[in-house]
Amino acid sequence: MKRILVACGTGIATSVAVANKIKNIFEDKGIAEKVHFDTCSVAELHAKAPKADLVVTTAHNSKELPVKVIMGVSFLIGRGYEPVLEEIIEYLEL
Amino acid sequence: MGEKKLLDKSVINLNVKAKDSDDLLMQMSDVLEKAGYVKNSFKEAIIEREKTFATGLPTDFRGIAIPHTSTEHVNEPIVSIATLEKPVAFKMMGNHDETIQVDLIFMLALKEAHAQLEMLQNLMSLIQDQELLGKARIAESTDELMDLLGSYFE
Repeated sequence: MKRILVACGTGIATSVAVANKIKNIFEDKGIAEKVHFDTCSVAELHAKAPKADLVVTTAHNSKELPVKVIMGVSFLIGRGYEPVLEEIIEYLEL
Repeated sequence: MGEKKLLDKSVINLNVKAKDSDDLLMQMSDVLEKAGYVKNSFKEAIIEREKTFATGLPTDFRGIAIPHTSTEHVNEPIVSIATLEKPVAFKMMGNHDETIQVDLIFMLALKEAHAQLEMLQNLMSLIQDQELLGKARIAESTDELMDLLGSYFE
């Protein structure tokens, strides 16, 4: 099971929306069962990121983290996300 | 399911005049505070949050912004909408080097994310519906805007 942590400024709005969007796409692709999603605020990233395999964020100023960080705003606006999706799938070997 | 709608005509404002994004966020927060939806601390919090985590999003024609802040400043969940007489600059979410000219704002006063997931999903579909956004931008009355967008904020 791979763990994707989705972060945004508040941890309650865009992170939740983006996590849900990626989850839905993964369901369509039949790979949703391989991934666990969690959401948090950027302030919580430092504590939570080490337990994740990948961080997806909508926030500008994500600090240096021990895991790979990918920008996820494209999922929110619904365009230009295909290459990002490919990157996630490739990186996590899903 | 008897859920409360997240729109209220009294916090929708058309053709707002604002000199910049701070001014706009102040005006919208004042409206929400007067209507009792948010606490006195909301205004400062949402302005501060916008500086740290910008919420401007590009769409085909100009941009929209979805300012929001922590739940502790909110009394009751609601979405306040404003169209602008003239666009103001917002920084782009996830990339503060980019500036977006925004003329449609959805200010989200949220209580708990998971209860509002459906609204957030609907908001994402709305962001992608250029035709509907176009109509919303030129709505001539709050009733018209409610009719256009009401189903997205139930």
